[in-house]
Amino acid sequence: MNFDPSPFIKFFCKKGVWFTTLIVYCSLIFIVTPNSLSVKNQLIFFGYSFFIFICMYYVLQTHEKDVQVHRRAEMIRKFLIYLLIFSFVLLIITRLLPFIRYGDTPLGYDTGLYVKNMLTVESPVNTQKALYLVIAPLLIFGMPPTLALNFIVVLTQLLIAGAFYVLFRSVNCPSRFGFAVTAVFLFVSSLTQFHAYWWMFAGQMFSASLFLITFALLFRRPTLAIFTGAAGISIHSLPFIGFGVAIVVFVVFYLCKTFLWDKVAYRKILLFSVLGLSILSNLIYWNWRIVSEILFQLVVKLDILFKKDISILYPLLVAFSVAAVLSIVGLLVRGRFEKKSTERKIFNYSLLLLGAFVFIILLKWDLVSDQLRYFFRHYGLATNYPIPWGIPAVKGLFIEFAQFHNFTFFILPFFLFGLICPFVWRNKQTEQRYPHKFLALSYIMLVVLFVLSYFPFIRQHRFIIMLDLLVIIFSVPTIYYLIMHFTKDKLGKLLLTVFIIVFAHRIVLVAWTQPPQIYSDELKELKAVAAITESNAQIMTTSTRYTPWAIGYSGRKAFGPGWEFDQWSLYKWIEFWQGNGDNADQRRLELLRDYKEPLYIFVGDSEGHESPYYKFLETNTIFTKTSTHIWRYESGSVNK
Amino acid sequence: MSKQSQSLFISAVSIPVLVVVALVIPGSFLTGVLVMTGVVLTLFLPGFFLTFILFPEATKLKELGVDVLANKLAIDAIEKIIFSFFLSIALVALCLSIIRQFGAVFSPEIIVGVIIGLNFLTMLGALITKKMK
Repeated sequence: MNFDPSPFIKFFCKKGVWFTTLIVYCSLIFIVTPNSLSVKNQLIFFGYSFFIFICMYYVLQTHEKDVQVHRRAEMIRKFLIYLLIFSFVLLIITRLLPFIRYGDTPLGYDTGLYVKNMLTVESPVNTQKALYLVIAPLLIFGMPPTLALNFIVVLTQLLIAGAFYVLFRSVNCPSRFGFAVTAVFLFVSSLTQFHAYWWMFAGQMFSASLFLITFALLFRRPTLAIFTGAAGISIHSLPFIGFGVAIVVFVVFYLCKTFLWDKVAYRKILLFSVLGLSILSNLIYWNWRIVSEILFQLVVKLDILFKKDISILYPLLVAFSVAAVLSIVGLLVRGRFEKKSTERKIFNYSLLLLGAFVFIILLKWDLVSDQLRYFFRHYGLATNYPIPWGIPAVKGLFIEFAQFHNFTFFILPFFLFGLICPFVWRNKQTEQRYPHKFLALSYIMLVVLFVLSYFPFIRQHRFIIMLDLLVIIFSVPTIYYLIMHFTKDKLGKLLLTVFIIVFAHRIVLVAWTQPPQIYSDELKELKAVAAITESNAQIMTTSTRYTPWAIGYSGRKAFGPGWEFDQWSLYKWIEFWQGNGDNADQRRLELLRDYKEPLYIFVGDSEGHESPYYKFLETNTIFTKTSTHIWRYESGSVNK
Repeated sequence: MSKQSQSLFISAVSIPVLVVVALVIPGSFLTGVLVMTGVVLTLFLPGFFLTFILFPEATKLKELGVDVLANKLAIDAIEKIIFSFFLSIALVALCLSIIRQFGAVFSPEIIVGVIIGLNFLTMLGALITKKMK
């Protein structure tokens, strides 16, 4: 029998891309399936992933031939508007639920530290971070510190959702509005993002929103991106690390490409930009004191000229100058929008870098240089940190990568499909079919953030928040295409509704069940400490979970295991926590002599009432119980 | 008067009103109003005025026959609100950071002065931009 392979070869050639995609997709699904799942659940996950692939195959194959798409455009738009409204309502509900259930401090670990800093915000020594500079006016206008912090944290959630909207409206993708709405929905229903909110990472979340808007402005107004980028970096630099690396890689590639293939004129522009960047950075860095001195002398001269002290007006002058320069730049840029040539783009990117570098050097140089020194001392690895029990703090207190994996479990197939099929970004209606720069930067960022959050680098866990944003970006096209396809008929709409409800239910459930790190009665006791204790009293928390709260709300010098003012090593703490036997309590008393009195010890509910040290506090007569969770230590009682 | 001009006019009028509310009537029952004023003046208005300066009107661009640019550069109502917040935050954070770099010692009066100054300047810029159009 003669076997003719040509039909098979033809079939494979025709469908070759899809087969390759399927093989890569299945391999990746196999890699990302958690081993902890039972075989049955693993098979369900494979089935779910395969179903999504088949759906996407069918959707993308029929999409181009679907003549009904244009007719259904209005209906799809209406659905997307409803989805946007639903996402907004869901965002408000899930972010306010903790406040409704647990009062005014349901969020955070860091809340106490932020409040502590805000209480001293008017002091120039303590206003180093730009975040407090944004909050300071709110405090001055009469907003209480805790309310201001809560307001800012809720605002960051709205801002990130908004930044996602603007980002996809700015990128050349098949449906700007559709992609934007899908991204907002994914952000709202992301468990990782909710946990970041729950941990109260106000600075990082604020900066993350500014990172997204900077990313968006890069494709619309690169010059404006300098300002939002600089503001973001000055608030918190971590969200910009992946972005910075991506920009540098991209510009280096662009430079090489330009020098090797493009015209001479472009080379000149690039050369001048690079030269300008290096000269200006160097000048400002090495001569900042001289520049500052010149400006100071100018003010002194003006004082003499006007024969009165105008130094009070100095900040106002600077503010007016910045606003004036901004206005002029804005006017100039607006007038030039027609001349959107390649040179202009290159110029914009160079300008962005120039501005960002200069701002970093101006605003954050001390911090940047400290971070670099710190990074190189430990080769960037948290595991090289000299104090072993400080490693979790160096990694950043947040969810582990495995937990992040579980949180993103449902959208992983969408993400992987979007990752390996860049043609989902193809826009046939425009001359330039792919958002090349956006994709290039996103892929580089994804790789960088994956490495930083998977391996034990410094702040490893905090990078997970940023990685989740990238996962959302790559999941958007797949989900959007499915939304578009399933709005065709009633069954599709039903499936889509189920899909949205499952996501919404998951996030509402988490928001409902997430307990606060400190309960209101515990916090009330800490707030009352200032009223019932001596002014020189110290507060010791036996768990790090409560230390920031004690620092922020007790109004006294507070410390916990491993924090500032703590005198004990980890070994001593283990003795205190776990010591059992006849002499254990005697040893605890000896250890407590390391601290000055008056000393108050706070033990929260989460530490349990069965622990040896809790029993020690309860039974030993040298401790006076001042409230449910606080004991006063008086060594004098020992002598008695 | 176009819709954009109307909103600019309303905002321009609201600034002095907000300032008066913020500074002249410091009654304790008006704390809420004062706080709201602070929020708007710090986190919204400067950026709102900047959007008039920095982003062209879609209709104008379409009149000029540059529809592609209109899609790319012009912003819709939702984006205008979002940009207002972001530009305000960036402006306030950078201005105060730069002032700090110059060694200024902050007092509530200086911070309020800077915020009000920024609002007036950006409003002025927005009005000039409208005139130029």
